[in-house]
Amino acid sequence: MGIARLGFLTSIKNRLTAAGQETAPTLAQSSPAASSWDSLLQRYQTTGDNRALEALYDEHANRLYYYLLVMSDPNTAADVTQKVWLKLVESPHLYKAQGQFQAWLFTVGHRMLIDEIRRDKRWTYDDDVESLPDEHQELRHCDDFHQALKQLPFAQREAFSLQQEDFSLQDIATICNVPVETVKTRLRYARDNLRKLWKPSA
Amino acid sequence: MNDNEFKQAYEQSKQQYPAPGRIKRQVINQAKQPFSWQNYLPGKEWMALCGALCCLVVIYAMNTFTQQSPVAHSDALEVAVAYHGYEDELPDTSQYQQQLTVYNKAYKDKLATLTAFHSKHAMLAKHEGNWLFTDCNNQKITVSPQLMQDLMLHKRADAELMAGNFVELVFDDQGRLIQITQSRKHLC
Repeated sequence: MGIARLGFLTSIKNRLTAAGQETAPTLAQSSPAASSWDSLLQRYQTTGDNRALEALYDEHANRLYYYLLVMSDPNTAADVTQKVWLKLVESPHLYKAQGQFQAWLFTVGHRMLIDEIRRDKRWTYDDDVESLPDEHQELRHCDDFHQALKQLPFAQREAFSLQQEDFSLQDIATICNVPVETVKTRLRYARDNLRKLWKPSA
Repeated sequence: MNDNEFKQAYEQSKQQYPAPGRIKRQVINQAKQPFSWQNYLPGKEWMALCGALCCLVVIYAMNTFTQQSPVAHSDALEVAVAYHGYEDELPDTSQYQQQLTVYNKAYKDKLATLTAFHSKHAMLAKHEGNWLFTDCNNQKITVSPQLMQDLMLHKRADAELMAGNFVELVFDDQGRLIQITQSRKHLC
């Protein structure tokens, strides 16, 4: 089934590329673990071995879900997480083995989330890097890190979350499609704002 | 707070919000499904685009067929032929039956004042030697070069007529051709 399937997938790749959807970005992240993820994915691509897919899922699903949860709400995070993995199941060839599987996964997740936001208009996709989201309102200091993180502006929250997932500045810039300098600024403001918002209990 | 504290807090928070188990079940179930053509067929948008293109092709084909209906060289059709020309230009009529319309000098003198009686739409099929028009009923109408020259001289025919042009042929009360008016529209 593997060979025949790959043949048909070529046309699907063209379709998705033509529609301006996710193609593998050029990312810098690469590590020994990343190459093992590549080999797992390659095994899934060529043999359709679901155990390889399951191993990849177990390794990455929680990270992707939490990143999406920080950026949205539980329902949207679950929906987008599922869509990202289903895209991988349906079109595994979209990822080219470059040792950047996690970065690719997050790029797809980022784009799908932005699409979702634009469609529903439930949140604002802002580029405001200097201020807190509710500056006009009273800041809600809290001891829960998750709640404090959620109060950051979208762009700061995203840059910060991706950095916590061990992405390099260049990777974050690629995923968010912004210059590296912008990422640095967002991270600086994110840390400053978190220090104001998050008051961990002793 | 330093970066390590942030990192630690982030990891702890992540563990408190794991991905729902249903996602994994659905993904794995989807992966277990056998090969399906449906996954590889074009999406709805592409199907709609293909449908629209097919409609355009059909409309274009129908339009082309309609335009070509006044066929100038169709052996399958029974074609009546009308010849319009002066007495000294009579063609050889032995090979096919023709309806001849012969003009005299008086006609030429009156060309400037003759009044229209009826008209028919046609397409110019050939303008080398005799001018050949084909009307909407596939009737061939041949006009001698001399007659065309006189019509043009009296500004009763456009000197820039080209093969494929649609025209209105105007006749007098005796069935004689007195004017050829070019039309930009497809008249048949």
